[in-house]
Amino acid sequence: MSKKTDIIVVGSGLAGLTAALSARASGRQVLLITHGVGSLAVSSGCIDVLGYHNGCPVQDPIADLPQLNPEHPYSLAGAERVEKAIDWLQSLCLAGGLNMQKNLSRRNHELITVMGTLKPSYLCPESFCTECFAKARRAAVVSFENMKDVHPLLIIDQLHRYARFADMEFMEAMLPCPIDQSHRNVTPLDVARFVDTPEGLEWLRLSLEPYAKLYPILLMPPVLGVKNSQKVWGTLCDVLKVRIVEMVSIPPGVAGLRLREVLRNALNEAGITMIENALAVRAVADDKKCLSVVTSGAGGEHSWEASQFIIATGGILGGGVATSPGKAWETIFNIPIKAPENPQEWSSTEIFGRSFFSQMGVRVNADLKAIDDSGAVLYENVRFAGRTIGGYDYASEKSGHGTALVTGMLAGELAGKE
Amino acid sequence: MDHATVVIIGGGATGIGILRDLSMRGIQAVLLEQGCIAAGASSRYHGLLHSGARYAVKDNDAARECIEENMVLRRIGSQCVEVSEGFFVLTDQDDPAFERPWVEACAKAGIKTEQIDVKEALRLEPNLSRSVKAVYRVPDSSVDGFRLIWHNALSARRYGGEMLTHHQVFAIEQEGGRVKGVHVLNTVTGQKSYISCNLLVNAAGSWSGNVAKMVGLDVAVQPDRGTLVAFNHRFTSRILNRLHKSSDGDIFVPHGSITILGTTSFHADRPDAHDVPTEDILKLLDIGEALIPDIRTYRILRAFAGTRPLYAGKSGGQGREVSRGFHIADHQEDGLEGMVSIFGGKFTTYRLMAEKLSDLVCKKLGVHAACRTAEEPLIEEPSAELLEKAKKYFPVHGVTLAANRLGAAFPIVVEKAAALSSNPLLCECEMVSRAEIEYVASDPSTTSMNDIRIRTRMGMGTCQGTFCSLRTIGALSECRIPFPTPPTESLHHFLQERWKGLRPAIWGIQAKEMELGRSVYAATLNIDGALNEQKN
Amino acid sequence: MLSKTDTDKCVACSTCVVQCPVAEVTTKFLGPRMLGPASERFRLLNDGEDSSLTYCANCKNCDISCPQGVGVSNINMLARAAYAKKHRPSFRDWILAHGELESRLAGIFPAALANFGMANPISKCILDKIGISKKADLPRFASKQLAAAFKAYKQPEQLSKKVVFFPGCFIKAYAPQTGMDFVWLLNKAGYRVELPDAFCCCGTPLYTNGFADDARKNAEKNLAEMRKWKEQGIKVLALCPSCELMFKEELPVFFPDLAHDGASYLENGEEFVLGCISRGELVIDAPGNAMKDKKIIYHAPCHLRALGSGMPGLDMLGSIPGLKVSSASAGCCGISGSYGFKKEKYDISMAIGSKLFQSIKNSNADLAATECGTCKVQIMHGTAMPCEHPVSILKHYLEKEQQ
Repeated sequence: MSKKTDIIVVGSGLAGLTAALSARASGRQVLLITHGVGSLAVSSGCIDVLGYHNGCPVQDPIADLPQLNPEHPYSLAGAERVEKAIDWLQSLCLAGGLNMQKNLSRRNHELITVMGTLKPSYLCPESFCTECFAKARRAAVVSFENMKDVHPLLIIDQLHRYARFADMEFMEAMLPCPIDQSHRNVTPLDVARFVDTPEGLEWLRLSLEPYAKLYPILLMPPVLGVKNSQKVWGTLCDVLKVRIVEMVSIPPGVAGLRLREVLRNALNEAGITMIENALAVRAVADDKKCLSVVTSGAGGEHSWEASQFIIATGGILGGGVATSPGKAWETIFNIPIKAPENPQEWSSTEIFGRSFFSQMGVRVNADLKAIDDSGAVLYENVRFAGRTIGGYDYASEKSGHGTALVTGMLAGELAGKE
Repeated sequence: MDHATVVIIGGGATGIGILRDLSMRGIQAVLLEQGCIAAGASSRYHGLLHSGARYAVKDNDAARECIEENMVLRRIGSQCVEVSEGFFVLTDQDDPAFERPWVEACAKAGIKTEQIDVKEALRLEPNLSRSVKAVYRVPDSSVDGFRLIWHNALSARRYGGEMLTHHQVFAIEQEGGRVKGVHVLNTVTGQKSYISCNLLVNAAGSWSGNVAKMVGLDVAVQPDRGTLVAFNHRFTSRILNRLHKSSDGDIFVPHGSITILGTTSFHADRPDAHDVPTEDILKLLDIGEALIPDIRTYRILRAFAGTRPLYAGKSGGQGREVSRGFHIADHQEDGLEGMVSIFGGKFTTYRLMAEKLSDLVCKKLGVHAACRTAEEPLIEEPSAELLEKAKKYFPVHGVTLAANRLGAAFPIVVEKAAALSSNPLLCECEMVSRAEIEYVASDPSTTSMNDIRIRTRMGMGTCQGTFCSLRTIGALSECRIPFPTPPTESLHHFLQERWKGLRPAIWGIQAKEMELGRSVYAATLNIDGALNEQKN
Repeated sequence: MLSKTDTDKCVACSTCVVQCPVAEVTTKFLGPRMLGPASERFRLLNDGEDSSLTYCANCKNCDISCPQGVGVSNINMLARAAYAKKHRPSFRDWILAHGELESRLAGIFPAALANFGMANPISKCILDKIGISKKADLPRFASKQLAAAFKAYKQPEQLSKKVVFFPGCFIKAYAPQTGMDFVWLLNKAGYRVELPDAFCCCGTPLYTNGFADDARKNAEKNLAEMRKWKEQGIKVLALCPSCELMFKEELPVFFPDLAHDGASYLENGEEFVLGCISRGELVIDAPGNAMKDKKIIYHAPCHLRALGSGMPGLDMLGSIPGLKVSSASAGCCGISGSYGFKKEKYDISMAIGSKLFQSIKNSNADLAATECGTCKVQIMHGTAMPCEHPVSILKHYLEKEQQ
């Protein structure tokens, strides 16, 4: 069975969701096809734009963009576009009740992680901002019994190893776990969901009260709710007269879910239908024009026709790029991706070293269309967004959601114009 | 520690077997290991407790030793041995003429074989190739190398034996044609010390040639690299062997949650040639296909390599030509008093090797005490009540595994778990709980996350350390058990160790797992940045 | 489709744990990853089974959310079936699994009597004793079950084309009107409908409650019948997403030897109706005032989402002129077949459904719509709002327009 729409977006990570929203803004009909819920469910929920360039810390990522190699998605999009995309997301989130903030000096934030490390990011929920540490030099580090991902003593020990925090006074604040115990992982998400309820919020307020009297800052795992985090944070800061700072955490991604919730609601309001559990397995094309994308699911194969396509299926992890010994390719159009024949050359001997595999993806032009070695466009009506595009290593340069957002928004806008 | 009656060099199966044997005979001994225990071939092999059938045709004596020791280890180390039995399978690629002599040779060595109907074999092992020609049952088993050695060590400790890990012997003191003691470097603290001894035992496996060199002896120990592939899940219930002349890639050994395919045989130029070239893996997959046709669809968890300490003796030879038998040298014959060495051998017969060497040590020291290692179990079986109690604090799939891993310490850990407000799994893939990790971490021989991994399997499952390493380091800081290195560095070191085994097999699902790992540790936690930005 | 390598595909990313509706509301459930791929690696060791396996509702949100395509729910169901072989499921589970058999027994008595037997306070107490929640609204047997209603109904003559209807046990026993509305639509589109007696319950309630052997018997019967129609080239249509999922996704996993052909022959009835509309066989005339300014809120059943075919019901409602349709997009309703009727699961089920109930209540719609029979029961129980199958709504519209 075949169905028709104007623009099809494949993938529901940050790139796919933003591509769908920006494409819909043109007034066209948009259909979102997804296999799995996308990376936001396990993400930190902060928009990293550029934290390091060639291993050196970047202070002002926007200013440093021109130095990137010409194949980098930011170089293709242009610095102006990067700023525009960030502002767009910021206003989108604000409308959805989530206040995403830039650093006051327009430089990278230095966010605190649950490992007690500092991590550069450009746009983050207000509750993550760490500028308050510039004034107040004392904080309680809060966690919950048996929340195995977050240990205050580790965080305190780790933070003291940074010059900026070396002389700060930290105190461990271990709260009882409000969740029934079982062998199941008690994660920040469990507590955040509890805090979303009125009794959960009251419980947290009471538990934090004694510490709030002693310390001007409470450093916490991201437990301030999933649905109403902005309100929860604001309320707690107000009634406790304290500044609460949430830490960047590993999956499950509480802050990622907050962002996803905002974008999903926006999608719903915009009337974008989402087809779930449908794996895009191939495309039907007439020479350089893609006619339809074929999905496979339990219900069988389905063909979806459109005039424009945006592919945001992720990289190696997301499934947009597949690998076998010595080979890599894009998974819907079967676009070959250059890779050394010897898999040993794919990665560096050092886990965090420069590795080839983490940059593997589709080569695109400034129009975000896939190109071959000669620079010729492969499909006239197909654009790529997010980690499916190659040429950068988001993990080491800390540009994860930034690249997804910028290319997602751009791809949607360009597709909407055609 | 400044004196020991006997100093043993090498914390592999043989060395620790000797430590246990001597300690049980009342001889004061200390064992020095340059890294962590079982860091060499004792853990870097497929974990097959040979029935001996593999060697029956070529070396019937070695085969007989195997089956005898196999039965001993089932008895004394039941918690370390999975009595899973083995199949010898004649595939369409194997020479049928080998079948008859092999059956006869097994009978001669005392190894029970039983031919079973191919259909029945396929029912028992549905993933086995449909085109196999003949299948025999043999009493093969799988054995957990880490665990067996650790329980030997704990048993030795109970008898007063001492073990120092991360202690590297860098010089051997001689005087008048006699070994007087060893100079030792603590590789963690950098401290140097001297230990005098009456007798020095060189049981350093692939490194034993290097040890011999310190006293000017040239011994024909030939490190031989064997590459192995560990798969993410258990797709056979039994050990699968090819019924042919021993060769590469012809053994599948299921262990707990995983399956190991081995092995290759390449001449190595150094004992720590542990790097795995991708071509080794591809070659193993090619060969493994004859037994398990779907092998390429299974996920490779990691690849690793060990070096066999082949002892070519005076006759020479390389690789599979060299006998798997062992050789004991009293260096008195080379004009050096107070030092003995043991070369060659294989894991299955480690206890016998230790017994023979300990006999020699006793003779030289004039001690009259009989070996008891074949009779006394390494660990007492946990009681049914204890297991029942433990079920409250451990997950269903993790109780027996934890009991087997911990042995004598299991009751302590159960108590510890009971005392915690909850006992969460820090490693969910291998079901390792907080109480166990805390207990192991507090052992004096534990200096790194790798030491914990070896004893608990933390970090050895599906995620290869992505989630459990952060949890472990956090839990340990909470109970104030610090490592000698700062947290970021400890974590990095651990992940780097995991990375080594992942990267030769970077494709398919494993590549996804690697990307997830980098995404958590580099993109989210910025460990790479912190390594440069934190001060120690 | 689950394969031997599904455990291998799991990268332990925890997405399924995030999206699992049961894990969201209770820690009694270890979660999809732990009981699915993580435990599966240990199951060959035969160390026993975690009791929280019974808390999996088989709603399939883990499968839907998994970026790697791991069939988590099927791993759980296979493990549960293996467990049930060793430990007999309870009488309560037998009752809930064998609804079709009971409906046949009930058929002997007048429905009013049979339903009174289930709904009066005394029998509620008895049900409670065996583990069925007192608070749950069990579905009521229809006064005239589908087979009887169909027999009494006269299809128009001269219909040259033919389709076969696989109704599933819910429509058969509890919601025959939905089935008859579908027959009406198909007739109108020019199709004569066959309703073979041989079709029985697809096996979902049997398998999920641990009665694998009974599920297998049903599958054998159904597949044999389906093959007959396949050979004649006549389409077999279903309206229940769970039935469709059972045939297309689960049977090949649960009984691979049975499912090699015929299993995926079942087609989605709503997609078929949409096809009739696009082929011009079924004409929806503008302007059409029958539903003008009516508001409908649509709930997509999890098993429909799991099919990966989109939302034909929503598309169908969208084709009705004047009707205002919105999608609740609020996740699982919590009922998962018979899960929410169980005493120890009732509160969990209601907690899961609360988001959906809220979304439906907030919508100010006149009517809720969904395909799944038990979702419907749950929505009416949780919101007190009427709820219909989309084919029924389309039928009402066309019928009114006709008048």
